[in-house]
Amino acid sequence: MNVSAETEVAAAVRSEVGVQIVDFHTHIWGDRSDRDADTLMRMIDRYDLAWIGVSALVGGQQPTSRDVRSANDTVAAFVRRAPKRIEGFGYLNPRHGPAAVDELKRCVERHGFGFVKLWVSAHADEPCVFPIIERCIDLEVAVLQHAFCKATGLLEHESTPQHVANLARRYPEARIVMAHMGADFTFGCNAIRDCPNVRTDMSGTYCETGMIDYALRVLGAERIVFGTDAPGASFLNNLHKVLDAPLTTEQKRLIFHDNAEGLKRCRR
Amino acid sequence: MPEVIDVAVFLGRWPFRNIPRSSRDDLHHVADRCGIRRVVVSDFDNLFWENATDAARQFADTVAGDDRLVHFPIVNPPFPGALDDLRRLHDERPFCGVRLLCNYHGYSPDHPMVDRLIEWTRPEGLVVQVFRRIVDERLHWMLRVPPVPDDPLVNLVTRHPDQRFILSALWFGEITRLFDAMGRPGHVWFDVSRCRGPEEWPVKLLDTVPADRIVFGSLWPLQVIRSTLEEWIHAPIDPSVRATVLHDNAARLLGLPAILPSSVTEPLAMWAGEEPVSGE
Repeated sequence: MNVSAETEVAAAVRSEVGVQIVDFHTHIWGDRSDRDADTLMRMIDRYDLAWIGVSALVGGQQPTSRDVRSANDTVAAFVRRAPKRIEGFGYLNPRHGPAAVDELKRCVERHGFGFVKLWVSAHADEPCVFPIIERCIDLEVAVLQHAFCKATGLLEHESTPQHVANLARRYPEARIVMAHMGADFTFGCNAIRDCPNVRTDMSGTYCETGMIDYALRVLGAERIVFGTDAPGASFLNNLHKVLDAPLTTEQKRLIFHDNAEGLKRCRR
Repeated sequence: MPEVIDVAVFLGRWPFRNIPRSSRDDLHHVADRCGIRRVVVSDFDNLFWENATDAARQFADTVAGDDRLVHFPIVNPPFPGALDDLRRLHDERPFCGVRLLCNYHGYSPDHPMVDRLIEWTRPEGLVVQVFRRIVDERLHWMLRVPPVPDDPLVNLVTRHPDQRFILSALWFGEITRLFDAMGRPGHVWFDVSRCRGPEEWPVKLLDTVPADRIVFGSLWPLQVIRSTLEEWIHAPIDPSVRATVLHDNAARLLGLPAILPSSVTEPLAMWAGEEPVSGE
């Protein structure tokens, strides 16, 4: 491995901003969890990451209660490999009703997770999501909400940035991170710009120029969180989206570390 | 500083969003920083004007004398008179390849005029570069342009085994799938401009596609050059393989001299502390 050069990349960032990078958005997938976990561990070491946020996605668009419970147990086992460098995200299907809230409680109390991941089981502003958000507010747990606005059509219950904004306006005290900048970053950033309780990450997108410039102008650096969507997407691809933008050292520190760390601290 | 040739660059005004730092001066600046010696480039006007060759001619005049820029005109073969105009342009401003963006111009790679084009490009020794897409079609809201389908692409390269092709802007999984579907062709090169994963993807790509079939492309100014380039700089691969992908394959295609592998083993200059070229 060309580890020294790769470490150099992370070291340069750390040297400038004074802290290690946080990758807020990674996954282990159900049918390849061991392999993904190994890849993420290598990534943590190679880039000397402060910590990564991990959720397990299993069971397609409508995972069963058993699926999500198993997924969260898989993440808990992964967290035990490096507890200070891996933050577990509880994956929930809002359509499970009270059982989803029970699973949230189990994730927080038994596994020590500090975050929730909502994917494509329900639109973010559907009533079935509300009890989860209300419990997250009680527990001071931040929510990573998938949003991917596609010209080619969405999945049946896939959220757009507007769904996320609706949820955020209903629950202004909820702390929400809209994933992927909503896919189309101009549309996504505009949709949430009046929702100060929503931050966004650039994970899983292509390395489009101007993405961070635009988010900086519309949202401000304090609302941008670094994330990759690894191992499906690559770390370096995402790193250079940020480094290509005309950011001050303080803005880089917010994006690479402080904004994610602030979400973590709010529950403790 | 490594020696790099980028085969997938555009200049001009992208009509669908503001792109900061996208001028020709910006291109030279970022190319200097990334060690990019040559850039294969076309103009966005050449894509969006109805008479594409008119725009190609203007652009050829604009970039004449710029040794870094290798102009590939975009041609729309079914457009009346397009091939005659292209031949005239080649007589006046010789070029070493052409680009096809079939989906933007509304024809299939199976169109008979594409075969007519290749009847001319092949004996001339010109490269034909076919873009499957430019931007992610899922995000192309203002102009719904689907990617070029698999079958016509496979048919095109199969029909013309003596024509050298670059297939551009394919996703990682599309490259590996089409390379096999095309029978692992020796006359086709794939650029990596639309690969963004999985983690450690260059090594995984090389597991399926040999290095001598891969060329570097960035899709600048739509995409960040370093996001793709640094994947190859830091990939745990033999320096000679890195040189093959980043430079030598494209150099052979464009008729440029190869370089020594050792020159691509040095890490890129660090970005820290560098000033941006210009603000938005």
